[in-house]
Parts: sequence; C-alpha cells; structure tokens
Amino acid sequence: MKDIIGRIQSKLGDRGKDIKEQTNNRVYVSVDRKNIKECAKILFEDMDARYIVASDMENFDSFEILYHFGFDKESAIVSLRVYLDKDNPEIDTLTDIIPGISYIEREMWELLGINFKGHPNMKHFLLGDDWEKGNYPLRKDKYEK
Amino acid sequence: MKKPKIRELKEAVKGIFSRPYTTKFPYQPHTPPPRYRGKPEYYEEGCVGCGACFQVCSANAIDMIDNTEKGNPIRTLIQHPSKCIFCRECERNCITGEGIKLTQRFDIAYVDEEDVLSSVKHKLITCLYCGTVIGTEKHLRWVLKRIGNLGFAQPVLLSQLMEELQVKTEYEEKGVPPIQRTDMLKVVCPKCRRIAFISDEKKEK
Amino acid sequence: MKNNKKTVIVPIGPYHPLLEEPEFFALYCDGEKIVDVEWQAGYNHRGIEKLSESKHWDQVTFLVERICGICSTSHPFAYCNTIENLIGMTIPERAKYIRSIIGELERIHSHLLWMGLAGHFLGYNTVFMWAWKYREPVLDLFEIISGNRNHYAMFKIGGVRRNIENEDIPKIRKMLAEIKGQLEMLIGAVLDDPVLTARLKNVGVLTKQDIKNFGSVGPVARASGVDVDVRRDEPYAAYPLVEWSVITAKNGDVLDKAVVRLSECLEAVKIITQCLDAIEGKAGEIGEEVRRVPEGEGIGRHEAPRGECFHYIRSDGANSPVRHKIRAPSYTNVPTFKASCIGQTISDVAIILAGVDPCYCCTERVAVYDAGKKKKLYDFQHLVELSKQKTERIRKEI
Repeated sequence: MKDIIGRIQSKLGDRGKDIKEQTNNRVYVSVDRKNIKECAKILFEDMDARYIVASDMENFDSFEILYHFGFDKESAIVSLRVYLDKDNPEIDTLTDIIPGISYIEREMWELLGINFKGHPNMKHFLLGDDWEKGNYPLRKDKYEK
Repeated sequence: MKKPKIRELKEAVKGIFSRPYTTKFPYQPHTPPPRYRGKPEYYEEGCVGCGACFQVCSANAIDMIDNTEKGNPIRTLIQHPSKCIFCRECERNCITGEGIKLTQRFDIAYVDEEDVLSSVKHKLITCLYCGTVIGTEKHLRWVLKRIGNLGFAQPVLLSQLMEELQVKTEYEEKGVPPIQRTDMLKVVCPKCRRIAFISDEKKEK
Repeated sequence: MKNNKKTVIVPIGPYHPLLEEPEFFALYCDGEKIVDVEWQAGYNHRGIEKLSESKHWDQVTFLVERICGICSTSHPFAYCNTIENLIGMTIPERAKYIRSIIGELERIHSHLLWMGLAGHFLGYNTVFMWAWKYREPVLDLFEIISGNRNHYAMFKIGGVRRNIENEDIPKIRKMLAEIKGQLEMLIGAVLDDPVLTARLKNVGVLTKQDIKNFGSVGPVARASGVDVDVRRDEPYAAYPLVEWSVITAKNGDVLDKAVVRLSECLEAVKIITQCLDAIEGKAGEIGEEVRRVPEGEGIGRHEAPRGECFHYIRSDGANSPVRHKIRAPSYTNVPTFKASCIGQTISDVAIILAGVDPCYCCTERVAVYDAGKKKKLYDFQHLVELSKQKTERIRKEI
C-alpha cells in the first residue's frame, strides 16, 4: 500500500493533498476542483486504473464528490475527494476522458443539483421529463437540522 | 440440435418419463421444510408486552397501541402479515424468546384482514399522578424475577412484589396532589418521583 | 435515405400488465443496420438510497436485499463487507465459509436463469425448459437452508444469521453431484452445435478499450480478455482459503460470454465442495455481536453473478447511515450496448442485449425507430421473432 501511495504522490505532486489509507485497502486523496480533470486523466490513463463510479453527498456547509478508481493488482480503491460550494455547486465534466461517466453525472445533477460544465447530453435520466425544476430529491435542506 | 448426441437423447427420454416437478397444492397439502419462514404468531404465555418487536420491525408491520383510559389501561400489539417481510427480526429480538415466533403457515391470502391478524393484549401500569405509561404488569414481574433481590430497591417493582404476595400496604393508593415526599414510594413515573423528592409541597391544613 | 415500406406499431407504455419489468431503449436504424442507441432508465426507481438513511444498521440489510430478486444476496454481501471495512473487524471462520457457500449457490442459479433466457431468444425452447428445470433443486436447497427461495435473509453485520446444519450437508452434496453432470452436458451441447456457433460468433463484440471506457465488470469484461475479478483481486470471505481459478476468454462476442458463464458454474461447484469439506462435523461461532458503528466511511464490494457490486457508506456514529451509495454491476454493463450494437443488424439486437445479462428484464421494452423519419418500427416481441427467424435461416444453410 505504501508503494501505491508513493506513486500517486509523485505523479500528482502538489495537486493531491492528504493522501492516506483510512481503512483497510482504501486510499483517499483530496483534490481541488480546478485540477480534477488532470488528476483523473493521470489516474485513468497514465496509471491505468479502472473507473468504478462517482458518489456525491451533501454536507452541512459544502457538497462533496468522490471519484472511485480501482487498482486491481494492488487490491486498493483510490478515491479522489472534491469539495464544492454550497450555493453554486459546479465542476467540469469528465466525459471526454471516461465516456462511461456520463450516466452518473446526469444522475448526480438531477438528484442533487450539481452542475457539470460541458456535459454533452444533460437530460433527465431517472426522473421523468416533467419533473419540477429546482426540486432535488436527495437534498437535506427540506428538513430541520 | 442438428444432430443430437446420445447424452441429449438420454436426457430427453428421462424427461418424458419422469413426473412433473411441481407439487399438487392445493389439491394435496404441502408441508414446507422445518426452518421455513412463515407467518409470525404471538404466544400469550411467553409475551410480556415490552414492545421490542415493534421497535425493530424492518417493515413497520407491528402496531403498539396504548389505551390509557382510567380504570383499565391496556396495551395491544398487532402484527399485520400483509406488510411483513418475514425477516425474523421480531423473533430474534424478543426478550423472552417465546413471545413471537414465525410459524410455517404460508397460505395467508385473505378477504377480511381480521382472519390473519395476530394480536395480544396486556394490562398496563400507569403513574398515579400524571397517567403516563410505566410498563406492562407482566414485563415488570419478569424483570423482578430476573434481578432477584435487587428488585427491593425500586418502588415500582416492590409494589409488584407486594401485589404478588398479596400484602396490603398502609398507604392510600390514590394520587392526591400536591405531590409530597412520601409519594416517592408509590407507583409513580420517574418524572413525578423526581418532583416528589425535590419539592415536597406539603400543604398546611 | 432509402424509402422502404415499414410497419408502424402502436407503442405500449413502459408499464403494462404483460411486461415483466419496465425499461426503455430507443434504437435508431437505417434499413437493417443500427446507427444509434439511447437508454432511458428509472422506471423501477424506488428511492432506496434515500430510504436507507432512515433505517437502522441491521434493517438496511433487509432493504438492500430487495433491490434485486435474482442476485439478492450480492447486495447484503457487499453491504456487510462495507460496514466491516468501516469498523475494521474480521468475522469468524465458519461464517466465512457459509457466506461463500450462499454466494456461489446464487451464482449457479443466476447463470442457469440466464442460459434459459438466451435459449429462448434464439428459438431453442428446449434449452430454456431444461436450464430452468436444473435450477429448481438449487432453489429448493435455499428453502431448506434459509427458509425462502429468494431473499434468504442470511447475512448480518459480523457474520451470518443461521447455521448450515450437519443434516443438510448430504443434501447439498447430492444436488451438486447431479448438477455437475447436467452443466457439462449443457456446455458440450452449446459448443458442439454448428448453428449456435454461426449465430453467436462475432456478434456483439466488445474490445478491451470499450471495456475500459465504460468500466464494465463481470463476465462481460472477462469474455473480452480483461482479467478482473474481485474475489481474486481483493480476497474476502472464504475465497483465499480454497482452490479455484478465474475463467477468461479472448474474443468478446456472445458465444464467449455464454461459455464463460457456464464454466463459472462449474468453478462454483468446486468452491462449494471445498467449503463443505471444511465445515462438516465441526462447530464454531457464526457471528460476532456489533453494538455500535463508529464515525467514518467505508467501501465494500462483492463479485455478484453479473459483476462487481459496490457500496459506499458514510456514518456519523448514529443509528442510520448518513449517505449510502449503491452501484449495481448492470449500471456499467448496460451502456456497452452503445459500443456493441452499432453496425449490427436488427435481428441480432435481442441476443446482444441478453448477452450483457441486465439485471432487469429491460429487454422487454425496446423500441426500434427509423433514423431518418423518427417513426416507430417494431417492439420487442417482433425483435425476438426476427432473431428466431435468423436462426432458422442459418440452420437451413448448414
């Protein structure tokens, strides 16, 4: 595991912060949202990782996206963590690097309201076409904290 | 198959002469295997009315209704098999192990839901002053039996023991406000006991 | 753009009493060849990720079990791996063997179900009937071990809920001995038949770059030569304790996918036999008690019959998850339709989609449009008919 942490650190350089193994075989890397395209390209193409999925969450003061990549030979999953603004969550799309990521980006937009700049086909995927605009089901601000 | 081989022909012949795989239910009765997860049933002797099954039910299929009208407080637990997912969480978490169990009944289609509901009723003990529910009588006696002589330290359990032994007390079992210090030892809920211990508002006659 | 005479069928909506599961694909075709594919999902969306935020840790196991009826153990397996990864605990050894036995039995029944459906789409109804007949003893065995034919409720955090008793083990061995012979007959029949080979070879080919672009997993990836299997890459449960091997193929067409799936069933029989040898006659704990789930995040996965099933959990020490992200393997396998269908003919569409083994019978809702006029041509029943007619044509030629 130290080997893979060392390799990621040397390839990402300054752009990857807090690289550590939190639980068994799971490495988390914090990345700034301006650098997400380059970091994803390094992991997907140069280090030949396997794209798994992306997951999104709403925290109290920010939104958070985790991109999960699988390094099968080292039995590890490396996740890139990106924080977004609460008022205006937007980030570049990764569809030109990983074509298969377009479906999860559509789902993240319609369920949580995160804007992906440059997505080729941003239409409703799971919800109906006549769904109310601005009503994002997975958000927590409807409930009292 | 263009040219079926011997192994396929053998299988085809076997298939013609063996009987169909399905059972003949409902024309013949069908017994499921011994550990089949069927409809849950309450057993009145084993159930103490604690409500643990109601709290852990994954599908919210158990209702617990406390009816606290004066003179006859009753707790009813009802299990709806139409909402049940047969996960056995109620049976696993039952504190006595004998209160609710999954039987082997699988034919529970109904027209009138009363035919398939399973329910049990218990007498409740309520606070003398405010009327909130303390617990069912069977549950308190079950706890008393388990903790033995440590039960003497708790007034509510002590009152249950005295009722079991049919001993009459000299206190009047009536809740007459204002709450005073001696009411600490009557059958009261924790909130009223705290008020009795702290305030002791004894009115001068 | 040619102006052929076409039939227009009135479309039946995604929800209809005759259909099994609702889904929607739109294929745009020019003459006989497909030019574009569009996938619209969500007709079965039940809001499970949101529901999971209001259930206790133990109740979530039953909730995720009901995501799918065929691969119903895969989701609790991945979820329990997730929580055990979060806490950092290991489970008792007997529980590991029992978990692997249930997982592999489910793999056998799921692949036999697929074999039956593939046979039906090609017009081989005998294969359909026989494969589903061989599947019945497996489901009866589940009823004896766990109490139900689907939704076994065998998993909990820290182990398994029920033991496999010693008196059931001879029944399992007897079933395994019978099914080994039947599987070998099915594999031999599939490979020896010239019509099937002509029908399925070089149909729906996926290259290694396609697999990497979409992130596909499972038999779909292994049939194209990409060697990825979670049971070997990150061993869990009893898989590092028994001898078995990963099956791969080279070409990536539908024939290879069928062979990979059937051979995996034989490997599953091998794994179950070794696990039974390890637990027969011995006693042991079947689960550890877990009182609290601490703060943190965890990721867990399991090799379901269709691929890698992935769960992510974020917890803050309370009774329920804060965020539960679930990715079923079909989420990455079904989009490969875009790569494998373009350029193929309409009569092959049914078997190409079935080759991916989508975990919902989404093939029931396919609509074929003319690319120029955007007019509806056929619905799925007609596609199955076209597929059967092509098989007949090939049979007459050979």
